[in-house]
Amino acid sequence: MTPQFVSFFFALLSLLVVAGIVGIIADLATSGSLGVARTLKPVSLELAAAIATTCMLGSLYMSEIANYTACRLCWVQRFFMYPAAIILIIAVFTKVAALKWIALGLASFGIVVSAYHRYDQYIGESGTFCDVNNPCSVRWINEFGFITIPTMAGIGFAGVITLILLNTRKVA
Amino acid sequence: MSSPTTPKNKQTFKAPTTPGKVSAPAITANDSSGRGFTIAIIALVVVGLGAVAFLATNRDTDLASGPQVSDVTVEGSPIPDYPSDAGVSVTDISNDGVIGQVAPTLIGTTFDEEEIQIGPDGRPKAVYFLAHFCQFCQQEVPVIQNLIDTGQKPDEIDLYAVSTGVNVEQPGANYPPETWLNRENWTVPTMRDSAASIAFNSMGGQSFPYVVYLDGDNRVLTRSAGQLDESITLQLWNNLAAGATTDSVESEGDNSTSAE
Repeated sequence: MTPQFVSFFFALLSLLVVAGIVGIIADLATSGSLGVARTLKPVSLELAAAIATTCMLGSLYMSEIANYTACRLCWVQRFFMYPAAIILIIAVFTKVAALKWIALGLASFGIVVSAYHRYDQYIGESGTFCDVNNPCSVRWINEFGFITIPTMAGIGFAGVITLILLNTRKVA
Repeated sequence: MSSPTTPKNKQTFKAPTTPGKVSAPAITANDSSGRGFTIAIIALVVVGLGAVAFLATNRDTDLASGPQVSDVTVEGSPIPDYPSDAGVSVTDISNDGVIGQVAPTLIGTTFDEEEIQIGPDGRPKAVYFLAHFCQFCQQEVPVIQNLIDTGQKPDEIDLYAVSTGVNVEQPGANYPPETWLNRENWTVPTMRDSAASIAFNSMGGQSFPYVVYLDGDNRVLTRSAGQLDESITLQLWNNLAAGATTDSVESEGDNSTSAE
C-alpha cells in the first residue's frame, strides 16, 4: 500500500463525501424528491462516525507511515477530528443524543481551521513559495489539482456536520 | 395470527395495500433491512473506489532511473540565509548583504550520474533550487522551460538547477523528482542535492523555489525566492546577461564577465 495509492483513494473518498453532501442538500431543498436524505438518515450517525474515523486513521497514516510532516495547523485539525471520531463511535453504540452535539461543535471548529489551512496553502502569506520553516504551506498531496490534506479534512468535517444535522432532522 | 373478525374477501384486497394497517414490528424489520442495504451499497462503492485507486496508482510505474539524492561537495564558504523579511521576492543591495560575495562552488552529479559543477567559469548563471513536492516549483518549471524553448533565454547566461529537499524516507507529492522533470521536458542541467540538502543550505536557501544569480566569478548579483512572473524572470535573465540584476549592483562597478 503506497502513499500514492492511499492519497488517491482518500481523494476519491472525499469526492464521494462531497457527492453525498450535495445529494442531501439538494434532496432537502426539493422536499425529499430525490430520496437521498430519507435513505441516509437511518445510518447518518454511523456514516458520520465512519468519516471521522477514516479521517483520523488517514491522518495517522500520512504522518506515521507516509512520513509527511504534520504542521501546526494539521495538529489543530487533529485536535478537533480525533475526539469527534471517538465521540461519534460512542454515540453510535450508546445512542446518547448529547454526544452528537459535542461532535457537531468539534467539527464546526475543525472546518474553520481546515478552511484557513487551505487559504494558507493557496493564498496566504507564503502564497508564492514553500517555506522550509512553515510546512503548512506545502501541499504534500494535490490530487485532481485541488484536493490537498486540509481539503480532505475540511470535506470530512463538512460530511460529519451534514450527517449529524441530518440525523437530528425530521425527513419526509 | 390473522384477525378472526376480518372478512376473508376484504383481507385479500386491503391487507397488502393499506399503509395504516402496517404493524410496528414490520416497520422495524424494513428499517433494519433498509439500513443494512444502504450500508452494503456504500461499502461496495468504497471498495470500488479502492479498486479504482489501486488500478490508477499501480499503472504509474514511471520510476526514476537511480537514486534521487547524491553527495555534493561544497568548495568555499557558505553564504548567509536569504533575508526572511516578508514580501522580499527579489533582493537587492539594500536588503541583502550577500550581494557581491563569492558563493561556494557546488560539485555533484546529475540524475544520469554525470558530474556537474556550478562555479566560477566566466559565465553568468542562474541556479534554481527546486523541490519536487513544492507546488510553486511545479508551476515554475514549465514557465522556465517555455522561455527556453521559445528562445527567450539570453545566450550570454547559463541556467542550472538543483533538485533539493528530497527525503527518500518522506518523499511527499510528485516523487521522484527525476520523473517529474523528465515529464516537463526539463533541459536545464540539474544537480542532485544530498539527503541533507547541503547545496541548498550552503547557498542560503530558506524556501522553494529559490534562485541565486551569479556572475562569471561566482559572485552573488541577486537572489529570489518564490514563484516569479514570467516578465520578472526575463528581466532578471536580461540583467544577468548585462552583468548585474539590479541598478545597485551595476553602480558597484561590477567587472563584467558577460558577453557583449
